[in-house]
Amino acid sequence: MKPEYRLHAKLAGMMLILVVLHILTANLVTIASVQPSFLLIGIGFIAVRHGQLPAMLHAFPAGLLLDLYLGDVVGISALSLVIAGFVAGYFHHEERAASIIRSPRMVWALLAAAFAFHAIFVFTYVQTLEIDILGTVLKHVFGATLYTTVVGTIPLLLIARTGGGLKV
Amino acid sequence: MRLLLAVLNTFREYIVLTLLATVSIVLILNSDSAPVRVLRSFSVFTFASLQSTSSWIADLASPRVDEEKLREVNVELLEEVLRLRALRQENIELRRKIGFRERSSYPVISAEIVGKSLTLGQNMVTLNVGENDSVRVNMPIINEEGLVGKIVATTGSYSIGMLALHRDFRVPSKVKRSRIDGIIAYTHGDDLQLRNVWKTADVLPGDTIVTTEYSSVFPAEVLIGTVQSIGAGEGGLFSQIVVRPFVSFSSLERVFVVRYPMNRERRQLEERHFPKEEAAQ
Repeated sequence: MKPEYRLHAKLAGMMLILVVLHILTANLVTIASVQPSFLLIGIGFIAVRHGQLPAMLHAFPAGLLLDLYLGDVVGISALSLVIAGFVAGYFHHEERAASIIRSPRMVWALLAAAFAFHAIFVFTYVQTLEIDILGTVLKHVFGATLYTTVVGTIPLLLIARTGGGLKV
Repeated sequence: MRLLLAVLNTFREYIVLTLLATVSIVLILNSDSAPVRVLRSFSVFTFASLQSTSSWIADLASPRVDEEKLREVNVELLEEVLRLRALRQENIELRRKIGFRERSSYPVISAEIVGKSLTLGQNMVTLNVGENDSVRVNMPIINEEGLVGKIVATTGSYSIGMLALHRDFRVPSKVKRSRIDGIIAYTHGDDLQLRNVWKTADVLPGDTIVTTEYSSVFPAEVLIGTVQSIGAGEGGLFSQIVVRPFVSFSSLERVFVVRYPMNRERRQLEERHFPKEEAAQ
């Protein structure tokens, strides 16, 4: 198998595990109905490490899988994740990817991606509902963005501590 | 062709983004279509079985948290219930008083009971209002629950009220539902009696008894009580109807004297031609 294919298989496997992890454990870490997106953390790492294209290509099926199981609107997570992957991809640098992933720049990448993800998700979802938009945005966009970034920082710190031992 | 490929290669991220976003939007718009439903059912089947087998993860954390949270909520709710009960009682009392004032079509004089004489069938009260407050003999006494009695004597600052639980008390009344007429009187105990009602008349236990418009002393439709029981009577034509008064006489503290304008001309005429018992009312 070509190394490129092997990489994509590995990333697809990782995303599948993250989908399962999200389905099984997201409710356990929910705070005031705000939960982090494990998929987004994975997509953020893929985007910074490998670029926009792989991030988007893996974001779409993962998001779709999640939508099919959890969402009442199929395609909404897929769209949000694809765009989040695209945004996080701007922090990718071909030659310095390995070092960026261990640097504070990765936190900014996650923050930007999380904001894009939650903002698109919420605005797409609530556009037909008669709810308190400001409250929803504060809670489910800014709150969820912050929460996802914080959770995403944990593997970042782990990677930083392991040096080159752990590869994403 | 080579140029096209070069352009595609340059903008491949944007092209992929546009394609995937378009597909996503199409899916969002067709979220309820048959193919999507098939995919969803397959996905639900796969992940639901996974989720059910790993439910022990959730059980580790949730029950204890739930139990503690429920206890806290329980205590809070209990306190809330006690507070609301007290407020509810207060609210009922105020509503009754305000509602009564609004309902009453005649001006009323608020009075406090300053003395009670509750001896066997001679239940009288002393009120702290008298002629100086425009209280006159034969004015009805009521409260928010219903008919209390009538004024039988007055001084400048005080008046004596005869309660409905007085053996000489009579009031023309009727069954609110069937409009059957009768006369309310007191015999003994805490109950009243509805007299002069035919055995064949339409009266049922639970019926409400109110004053009639025929009285020259009492205004019409003042609540008196409910029919407690209906007896056959002793060999007569009338039923023996026991009425439980709405007013709680034992806890009576504040009443209203109704400034009901008695028609003297009418009263004099009735006194000459009606039987004594009916003319007195």
